[in-house]
Amino acid sequence: MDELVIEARSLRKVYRIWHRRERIEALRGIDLTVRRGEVFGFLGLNGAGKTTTVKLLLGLLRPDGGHIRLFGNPPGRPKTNRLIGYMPERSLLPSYLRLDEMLELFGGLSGLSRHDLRTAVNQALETVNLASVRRRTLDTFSKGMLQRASLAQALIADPQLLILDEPAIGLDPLGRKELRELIHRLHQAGKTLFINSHELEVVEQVCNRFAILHKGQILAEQPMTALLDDRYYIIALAKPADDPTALLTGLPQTARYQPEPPILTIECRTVADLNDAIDALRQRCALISTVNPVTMTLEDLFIRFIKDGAGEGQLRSQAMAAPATVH
Amino acid sequence: MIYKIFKQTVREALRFRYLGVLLISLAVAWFVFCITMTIFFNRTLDIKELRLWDLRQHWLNDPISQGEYYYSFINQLNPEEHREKSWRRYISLSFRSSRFLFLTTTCLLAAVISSMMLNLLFRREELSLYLARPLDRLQLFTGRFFGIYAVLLFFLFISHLLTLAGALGPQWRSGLEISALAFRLEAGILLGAVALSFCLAPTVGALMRGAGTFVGTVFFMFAATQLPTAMGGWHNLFPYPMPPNAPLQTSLLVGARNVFLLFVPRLFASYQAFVEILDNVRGESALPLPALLTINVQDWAGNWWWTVGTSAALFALAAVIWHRKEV
Repeated sequence: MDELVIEARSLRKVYRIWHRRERIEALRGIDLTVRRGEVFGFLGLNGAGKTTTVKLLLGLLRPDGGHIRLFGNPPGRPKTNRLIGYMPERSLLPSYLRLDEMLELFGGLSGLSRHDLRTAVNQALETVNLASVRRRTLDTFSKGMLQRASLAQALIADPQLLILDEPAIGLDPLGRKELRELIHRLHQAGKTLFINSHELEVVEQVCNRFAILHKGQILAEQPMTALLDDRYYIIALAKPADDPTALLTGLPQTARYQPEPPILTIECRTVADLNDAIDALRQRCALISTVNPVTMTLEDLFIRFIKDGAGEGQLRSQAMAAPATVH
Repeated sequence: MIYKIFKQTVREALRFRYLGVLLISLAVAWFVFCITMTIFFNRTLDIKELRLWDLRQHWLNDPISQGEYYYSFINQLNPEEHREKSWRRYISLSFRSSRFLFLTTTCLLAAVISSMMLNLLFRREELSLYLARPLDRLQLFTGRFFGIYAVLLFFLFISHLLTLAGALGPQWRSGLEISALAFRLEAGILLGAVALSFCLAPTVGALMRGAGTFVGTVFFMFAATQLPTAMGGWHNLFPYPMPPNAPLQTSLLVGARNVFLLFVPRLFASYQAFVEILDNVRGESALPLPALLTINVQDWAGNWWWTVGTSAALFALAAVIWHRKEV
C-alpha cells in the first residue's frame, strides 16, 4: 500500500506562444504522490492544468521543472507504459473498427501475443459489459458505450495503474452507476487509479484520496474521509433578526446570516462550539426553530477552495476558514 | 510492431477515400479528354519510334504557331498537311498537358493530401493513444510515415495507369518505359514531400493549423531553391534566359509558380545552382549554365539518387523532430 506509484516533485510546465510572445504557466511547481492501491481523484476547473499533468505523467509532454517517477521510472518509456492504461477524455478510438478489432489493435500495440490477446479481449469485454456487441463497429455506439469501449482499451493489457481522464463525462445515471461499480471492482482487484475529473459526485463516491488543482497549483490534497470531519450547522430562526450585525456578534467569524428565510450557517468543529454559538444567539433573544448538522460534500469543499484559494494557492487541507454557502 | 502500426495507418489513410477519388477523377477526366481527341483525329500516338526527349526537343524547336494553323485551315491549301499539323498539335498538347498533370497536379496534391492526412492522422489526441503504449517513438514514426507513403503511392500509381491509357490509347504498352520513369521520379518526389510535411507539421502546424503544413512546405521549398537562383540572376551570373518550364528561374515570380512543379529534385538543382554560381564567380565554369539549370537537371541520370538521397536526409530530420515532439 505504501509503494509510490506516482511521484511528482516541483512539477512545472510553461507553454510558450512565441508568435504572441505569451507565456502560460500551466503548472507552478506541484507535488503529487499516489500510492499503490489508491483511487486518487484529481479535481480542478477547466484550464486548471489537469490535462497537462496527465500528459506529463504519460510522457506526452516534457516538464520545464521538477521530476516525475512512475513505478520508480521516468514517464514515457516503454517499460513504464507497459504498466499503465490510459483512457482519454474524448473517445479517440478508430470508429470504423469493430470493437474486438480495436481491442486487438491496442492489445497488439501493448505487446500482447496472439494467444494472450484473445483472452485479454474477452476479459476486457466482460469487465465493461460489452461482450454482446463485440462485432459491431464503433461508429454505431452510443456515447456511454464508447466510454466503456475506451475503458476496455485502457484495461486490455491488464495495467497496474489506470489513468482515467474524465471517465464519467457524457454518461447517463445508469452509466455512472456502472462506472462506479467498475471502479470499485478494479480497486478491489488491487489496481491503482488516477481519475482526472470535475465530476465531483463520481469522485466523491469512488476515490479514497483527492487533490484540488487551481491555476497550476494544488490547493488541497487529503483523504476523502477528512470530509466527515468537516461539518457545519444550519440554524433556522423562527423570525428574522431585527439587527443581523448584532446577531452575529460573538459568533465564529465564519457564521453567515441569510434573512429570507431566516437561517444562520455556522461551522463548528465540536459540540461544545455549537452550544456556545446557541448560547450566544439565545442571549440576543433569537428564537431557534431547528438545528441541522450538515456534512461537507466534496462540492462544498471544492467551491470553497476555488473561491478562497484563487490567487493564493497556499491553502492546504486544514485551511477550512470559511463556511460553505447555503444551498 | 512497425508492421502493426504501418498496417493500421494504411487502413486509416485509405479511409480518406475522397482524396484518392480526387486524384483518380483528374486522371479519368484526362482519359476522357484524350479518348475524345483520339476519336476526333482518328489516330493514336505511336511512341515507340520516338524517345520522349527527342519529342520534347522537337516541340521546343518547332512550335506550331496559331497563325500557321489558321492559314492552312482557312485556305484549305493542303488538307493532309493541315491534318498532320493538327495531329502534331494534339500530341504536343497531350504531352504538355500530361506533363502538367503529372508534375503540377501530382506534386500539389501530394502536398495537400499529405498535409491533410498528417493533420488528421497526427492529431495530438490520436497520437496520445499510441504514445501511451509501450512503443518506441521511432517505431511509431516509421510505421506511420511509410503507411501514409504507401497509400499516396497507390493513388499515384492508379492515376498513372489511367493517364497512360488515356493518352496513348491502344498503344499504351509503348509508353510503359516512359511512364515507369515518370512514376519512379514522382515516387521519389513524394517521399521528400511527405518527409518535409512530417518535418514541418509540428512546427508550422501550430501556427496555421490545417493549412500550416502545406503552406510551410511550399514556403520552405521556395526559400531553399528559388531564392539562391534569383540572387544569381540579379548578379548577372546567368547569361541566357531560362526556359519558362525550367526548374530554377531567375525571376522570383516564375520561380514561385514553378515551385509547385517539383519538390525534391529542386534540392539537387539548387545545389547545382550554387556550384555553378561559385564556379562562375571564380571564372572556372566550363559548362554553359542553362544546360545545367534547365529541364536537363531533372532528366539527368543521377537525379534519382539525388532524389532518394535528399529524401532520406529529410526523413532522418523528420524522425529526429518527431522523436522530440510533444503531443
